[in-house]
Parts: sequence; C-alpha cells; structure tokens
Amino acid sequence: MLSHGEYLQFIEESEEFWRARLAAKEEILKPQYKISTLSRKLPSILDSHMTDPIRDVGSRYMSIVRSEAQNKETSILPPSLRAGLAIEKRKKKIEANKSSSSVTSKSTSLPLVTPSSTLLTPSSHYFISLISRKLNNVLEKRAQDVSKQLRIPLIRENEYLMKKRRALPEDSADSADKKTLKSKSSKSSLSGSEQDEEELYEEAYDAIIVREQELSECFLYQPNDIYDFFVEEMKDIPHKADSSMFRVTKEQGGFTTIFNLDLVSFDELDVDCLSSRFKGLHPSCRQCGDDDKELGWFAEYSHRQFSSYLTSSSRMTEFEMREKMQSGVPHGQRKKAWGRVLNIPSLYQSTSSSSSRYSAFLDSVNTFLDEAFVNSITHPTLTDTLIRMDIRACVTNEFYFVFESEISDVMCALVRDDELLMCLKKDSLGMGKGKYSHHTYDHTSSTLPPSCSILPFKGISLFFAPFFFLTSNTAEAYVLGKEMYLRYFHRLHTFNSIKGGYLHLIELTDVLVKTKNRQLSESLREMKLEVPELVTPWIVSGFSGYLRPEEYFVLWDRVLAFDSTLLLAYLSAAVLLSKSKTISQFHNESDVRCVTGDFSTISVIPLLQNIMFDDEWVQ
Amino acid sequence: MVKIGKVKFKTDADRFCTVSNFEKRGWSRGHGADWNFYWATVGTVKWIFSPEAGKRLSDHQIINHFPNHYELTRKDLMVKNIKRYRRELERDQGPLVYANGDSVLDFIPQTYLLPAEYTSFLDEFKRVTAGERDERKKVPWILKPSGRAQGKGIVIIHKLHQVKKYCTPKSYSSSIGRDSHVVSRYIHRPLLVGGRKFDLRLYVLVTSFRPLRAYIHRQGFCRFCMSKYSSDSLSMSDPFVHLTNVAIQKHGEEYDERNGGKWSLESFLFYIESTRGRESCRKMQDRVENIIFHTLQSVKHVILSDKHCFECYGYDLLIDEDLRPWLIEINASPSLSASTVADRLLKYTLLDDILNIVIPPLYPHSHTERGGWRGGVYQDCSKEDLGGFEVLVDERKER
Repeated sequence: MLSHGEYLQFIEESEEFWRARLAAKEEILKPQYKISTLSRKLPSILDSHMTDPIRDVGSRYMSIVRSEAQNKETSILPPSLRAGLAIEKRKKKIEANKSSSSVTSKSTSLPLVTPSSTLLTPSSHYFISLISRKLNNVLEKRAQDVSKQLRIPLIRENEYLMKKRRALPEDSADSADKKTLKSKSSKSSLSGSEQDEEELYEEAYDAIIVREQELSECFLYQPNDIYDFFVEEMKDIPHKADSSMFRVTKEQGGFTTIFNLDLVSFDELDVDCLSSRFKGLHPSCRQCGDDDKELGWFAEYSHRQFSSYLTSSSRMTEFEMREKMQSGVPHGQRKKAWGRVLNIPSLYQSTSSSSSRYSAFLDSVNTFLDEAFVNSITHPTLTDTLIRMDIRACVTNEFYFVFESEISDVMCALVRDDELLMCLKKDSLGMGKGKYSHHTYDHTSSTLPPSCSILPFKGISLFFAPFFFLTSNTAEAYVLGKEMYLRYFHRLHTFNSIKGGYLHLIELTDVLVKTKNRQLSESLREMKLEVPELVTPWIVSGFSGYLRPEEYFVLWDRVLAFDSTLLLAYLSAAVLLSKSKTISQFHNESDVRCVTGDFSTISVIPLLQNIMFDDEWVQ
Repeated sequence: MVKIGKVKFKTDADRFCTVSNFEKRGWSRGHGADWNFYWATVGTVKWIFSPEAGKRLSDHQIINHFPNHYELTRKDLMVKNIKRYRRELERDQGPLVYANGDSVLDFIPQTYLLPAEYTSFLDEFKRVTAGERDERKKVPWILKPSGRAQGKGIVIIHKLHQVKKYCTPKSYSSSIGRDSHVVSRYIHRPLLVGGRKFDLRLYVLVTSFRPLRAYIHRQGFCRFCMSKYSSDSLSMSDPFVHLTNVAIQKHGEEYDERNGGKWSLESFLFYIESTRGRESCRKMQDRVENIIFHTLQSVKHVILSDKHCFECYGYDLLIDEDLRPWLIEINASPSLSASTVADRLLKYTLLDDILNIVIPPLYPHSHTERGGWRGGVYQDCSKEDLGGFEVLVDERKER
C-alpha cells in the first residue's frame, strides 16, 4: 500500500513515458479538454487495446487506495490521485458512450505481440514499479536482518564516503599500508608504531575472516529471489485489480505466457526485422569466434584488419568501431576494441606515445584501489563481508578462481566508488533514493545502501571476473568493469520495465521458447519449471560463470557492437531449444536443471544465428 | 571406429578412469599372465622386462610403458640425455636458434647432477649466487631428488652448506643411483597469473620411438600455487608459494576442492592470447612443441623401442615472464586419480583417446591379411580416431 508521500515520490521516479502518461492524465482534468483530443494523442494505445490505459491506470490506483479513499475526502488525496478518481468518473462516461458501439473486445483475447506494443502499457509499467518498490523494502529489511546476523552495523556503510568528503588526515596514511598488509613478511623492517598499526589491521581482518567462516553462505538475495518475489506479487494483484486485464497467466494468441507484461515487441521476433537489425551477425558474414576456429586464413585476416583499425593513427570513432565489431573481435585485440567502444582511452592508447595522461589516470585508479582495500579491512562494512562471501561462493569456479584476490580488490573499490551512485541514478535495486543520496546523506541513519548504491546479490562478483582475461592490470580491469556495469550489467539485475532490462529479457525468452517449441515449455511446466525461472540466473549474470570465457566474450562482443542486451535473451532461448531433445528425456526437475546448466559444449554464434535468422529452427 | 573385442585387461591399481574405460569397451579382467592390455605401474614394467622374469610378450599384448622409460623420466638421466643430444646436434648442425637469438635447445634451466657434477656446480654457484651482493638479485637454486615424484624432497637452496649434505661420500659411490639429486637454477621470474605461480601439464603419447611417432593432447592444464608468489628469501621456504604439485597444494589452507587449483589449458591459452597478443601466444606454443620434440629425439636411440609398448608422458613446464617455456620434468605415470569433476572428465577422455589410438581394430584378433597389423601397439591410427590428440611428429610419414 502506498502512502501519499510514497506515491508522490513514485511519480517523480517513474520513467519518461510514464510521466508522459501522467501528464496526459493531468491534462484531462482541464475543463476545456475533450475526449477526442485525448484519443488523438494516444491513438495507438486506445485503438489497439481493449481498455484504454488511462482508465486502466485509474482503476488500478483506485483499487489499491479504495479503502483509504472511501474513508477520506477526495480533497485530501494528492492531486494525481484525485486525477485518478476523475479519470474513472470520466471513463464511465466514455464507456456509456461507447457501449452502443461494439466494445466487446474486453473479453476477447489479444495476441501477446501486437505491433503497437513497442510502447509499454502503463499497467505493466505501473505494477513493475510498484513491485520494484516493495522489493526494495523487502531487501532493506533483509539487509537489516543480515546485519544483525553478521554483527556488522549498517551505519558503517557510508563511512568511507563521509570520511572522504570530510577529508580526514588519516586517509593518506592508510593508503601506504596496503603492501604491509598483503605480505606479512616484511615485519622486521617496520618501525614500532607501524608494527602496532599493522597488528591492529591484522586483528581486525582475522576477526572478519572468522566470522565469515561461521556463515559460509549468506546473501541479501539471489537472482531467482527477484523472480520468485515477482511471481508472488503478481499472484496477488488480480484480486485487487481488474482481473480481466492482468493475470499471472492467461491464454493469449494460442499460448500461455507467464506474466503478460507486454514488453516484447513484434520486431524482436520477426526474422526479417532481426536480419536487418543484426546484419553483422548473419551467417552470410564470417564470424570471429566461430569461423576463425576452423579457417586459419580468416583468423589471420581478421587479426590484421583489427590491428589496422586499432593503430593509434586511425581515429575510428566509437560508432565506427561498433560497426566493425558486429562480426566479432579476435581475442588478442579485444581489450583495445572494447576500450574504443566504451570510450576509455587508457585502454586503447599505445603505452609509448602521449600516454602519460592515461597512465596517470590508471595510477589514480590504482591509488583508489589501494585506498579502498585498506578501508575494507580497517572499516569492514556489511557490503564488504557479503561481497567476500560472494566471491568465495561464486568465483571459485574452474575459470576464475585464479583471479580471486584481484576480483576482491576490484569489488572493494567498486562499492566505495561514489561515481557509480551519481551515474546510476535511480535504477538499481536497493538504490539510494533521494534520502540516501550523498548530498543529503544522514550518517546517523542505519540503512543500506553502500556508497555505490548497489546491493550485492549472489553472483555480483561474476560480472567483474571475466575482465581479468582481457588484462593483467587490475586498474584496467576495474575501469573496464565499471564502465560495463554502468552501461549494461546494472540493467540485468534491476527490476524495471526498460527495454533490454531484466523483465524484458525474461519475457522475450519466454515468448521465443513458446513460439518456437511449445512442447518444450509444456513439458517444463509439467516438471513445475518455468522458462523465465530457468533462464533468470543466466541473464542476471550476463552468462558470466556459465559460458566458457571465450564464448562469454564472443557473446559480449556482439552485445557491445549492437549496443543491445537482447542477445542475452536470444541466447537463453536458443540454449533451451538446443537442449529440448535431451530435456524431453528427463522427468525430474533437478535433472533438467543439471542438463540445462551444462554450458561446456555451448558455442554462442551458431545458436544465435539459428534462433534469430532461421524461422524453422527447432532442435 | 569402435574397437571392441574380447580383450582381457589388467591394472595394478584400480582407478575410476581406467577401469570404467576398459569396462565401457566390454573388456574383461585378466589374471596372472593371461592379459591383453596391461595398465601397469613402472615397477611392474621393470619386472616384466627384467631378465629374471624370463618372459616375452606375445603379439596380442600391449603395455603402457617402455622398458627403459626412466631415461626420460628420471630427472638426472633426462638432463644427461639432453646434454648429450645437444652436444651431438650442435656438432653436426651448428647451434639451432630462434629468431630472437635464444637457443632452441636451451629449455632446461642450468642443471647439475649431484654429486657427480658437484665441482662444476660449485664454480657456477660461486660465480652467480655468492658473487652477487644485492640480496634481491641472488638467484636461488632448487634441489630435487632424481627419482621421486609429487614434490617430495625438494629444497630451495640459498647457501652452499645446504647442498653439502647431499654430496656425502656415501652417496658419492653411486654416482647416478637412487639417492642422487639434481640441482638447477630456480626460474625466479615465472609468469604469474593472478599473482600466483603455476606450471603447465601437457600429455604426450608416444607409440613408437624408432620411427618416432608422438601425439600431443589438447587438454592440458595449469596447476596453481594457492598462495601469492613472492621471491623474497623468507617465503622461499614456503612450499605453498613455490611448488605447484597438487600433492603438496592440497594440504594448503587455501586449497579449494571445487577447482583443485587447476586451470584448463584452453583458459590459459585464451588468457595469454588476450593479454599478450596472438603472436606471442603462438610463439609460446611453438616453443612448447619444440621442447617436446627435442626431448623425445634426445632419447630416440636410447629407449628400447619395443613394439608392445606405448607411453603417455606427463610434461611439466614452467612459463617465465617472457613467455618462454622451461622444461621441469617428465612423468612416466601421470596421476590418473582425479581431484575435481573437471579433472575426472579430462582424465577419462585422455585415457579414452589413448586407447583409441593404441588399440588396433578388432583387437585382440590379428588380421594380418586385412589391415597389416602384426601385433603390438597400433600404428596406423586414422585422423578421425585421434580424438583430443594431435600428431606432433610422425617420422614414418615424413619419410
């Protein structure tokens, strides 16, 4: 249930199109406004949907605040809620007018995918935002529980940021001690006071380690928790709201989709649209990461091509580079190519000439990494502890265990990076909403989030692990990982309705699997498995930790090149479809999870090409 | 081609990957001298080929070691053989060098046999280590017993007196005996990945020495030390920093059973190619293949090339900062016990691939009239049956 204050905040935080809807709604209140103008303004929505979104929105509000509204005068409602009421009244009038004509569409089933639904329907968007808020509250509560369990007060979370802003003198002393912490050997050379300090650090560190070992696994949430929470919430909604509009599952256009968010648009399923949009990935182009394994000459050729693109003399722009990357990047050139696309000069500038500026930048990153490391040991926060546990649980797989301590360094720094807070705005889960933002931060309040605003979930460190395959320099990996997080990764674990965000991707996967192979999803359902649930961990992690590192980069080359996370959904669906035969032989949930979780033989390119460009492809 | 027949197998120690592989092929267990395929330990092989045993292997018997495999797998003999080979080769053909001037045959760190070459070692030690005043630049030496495995008895040497006890007159009597040692320059600038030292394990299958025919397996792995590498003198005594043997590392605090400290060769090559570029990666691979080729060449005329024998060698290599591979040692009986799931899979496939190559079709029935197999290890394996192996050298074809 929303309080008035929360409601207002919610309005503020909604995304653009939602604001546009609200604006339109406000407009409707103006006496001179006529219905006809409204329908001209929102023709696509009004025409293609059985109920117009505005009535829909109004009724949603009303159903939720009805009890309150009944007890209160309309005047004490916030203006926009009053708007909601007014809309409902007006809506009744419209319906009365229309009832003579054939508005029977309410009961007819619409195909899920309508060409016009590139615009999100406000209903989905509204509920997504609502659930997202609830989820945040749940997570905050969970954070408080975990904090009690681990005996680390939440109040510490923003200490680093506060300290930095106050620029306490002890800051500078900290940074020098990283090395002494890391190698315990040089004790003898230390003077007395330094030795004391070091012992102090070590004690603090040991205490944390002991406590962490007591609780070997402890997470704020796992990717699938988001999904479960969402499904639970959606179940409740139909009772509150107009059930014909919004059901958890409903028969639509011949198949059942799990939550009918209407996030998927037609052109994301159409082979022709995809062929033109993802031209560089089409089988008619030779692909790095696939063809170069077999064809030596092609590997040689693409290597030489990219070398020439990436020489310092060629001033290729970000966008030109993207275009060249559509058919992949040879392994050896990836760091530079990605640096160019992500606009990080220190990655692609050659080290010899005019690089002092960039190396100075990397030095500053290194200093920050050192500082953050020391701070994470002297002033361990809950986030640090959770992240260390996460690294121990997730990064110790056969690919990334080598980089365990580097990843830990990067993560420590990341949660102390206030630049992330500024860039991420209001997107992330557990994100610093206005009251936590560092301008008004109240250091006595005992709430998460950490300075960076990311609540660590199980597997978050996997985002950053692959970059150590691209560079052996921790600072470079940090810069790269941060940029990727800001551009792509945060969308994958954020609960909202944006294109290419988590919900959009799982729904697209669901629709793809169901259109291509209905039997598969039905046999999965018999085992009480849903496609979105199966693919959630893959999508949330961006396939890191699932695909082999080479294949991971082959996939992300394309994500960067097309600037689209949709490929993750195509790949998830293709992975399931490619295993449909095997899946059909199993009748047990855990067996199926085992089969689908095996990525050792997956190669990305053929799968993507099959699902995107081959209408008939069903394994 | 599926090679199924009524084969009787025998093993000295039952391991998952051997027995399950044999049983998958429908083989049954043999007893006493009634066997077709023997997966034996080196000790058994020694006894089988010894004159006291008074045995001759029949045409349908295949065994997994060469009679004098130790020429390559004992550290001291390997060094001796390579030194001799180098002398001969350079006498005949002049020095072989890479484009950057490194000698092709310079792939083992400077090594002396103790006690036989003690005096030469002494000179070198004085010149290189004792002469260096700067503590940090002092190059340590590493002393290993010749005939032991799994990192047993390895000592890192800084001072001369540490060596002396290994050169007592008692051991002097058997100059190349059981208790001899080798001492070699420590590779003190190894390539570090994630700050840790590692070595590379590659599997090489030799089906015949004369003519030389060898295959290299695509699935090797890196074995990592669990602790961060440091070359200062204090950490030198810490085995968890310097010795990569799984037998040692698994006792370390930071050992993780999920990965066993092992990284696949695939991951390693991908890492090198991504961070160092395609050219460097390829050069490194070439050098690795050269090392294997020349070590096999060095014992080509020494090893008794019995047609009943094949051998899968486990090559241990160390890569230094300049991506130059160094040969550490060669193992005759690479451990087929698996420490992780991935490891088990790797070893199972490895053995499967080995059997596909060395076992003739229709084995154990001879079919001289059809295929030309006249007993012993199969030599005409077709390309399709190579599995994870690649041909490293096949002298018969070269001719």
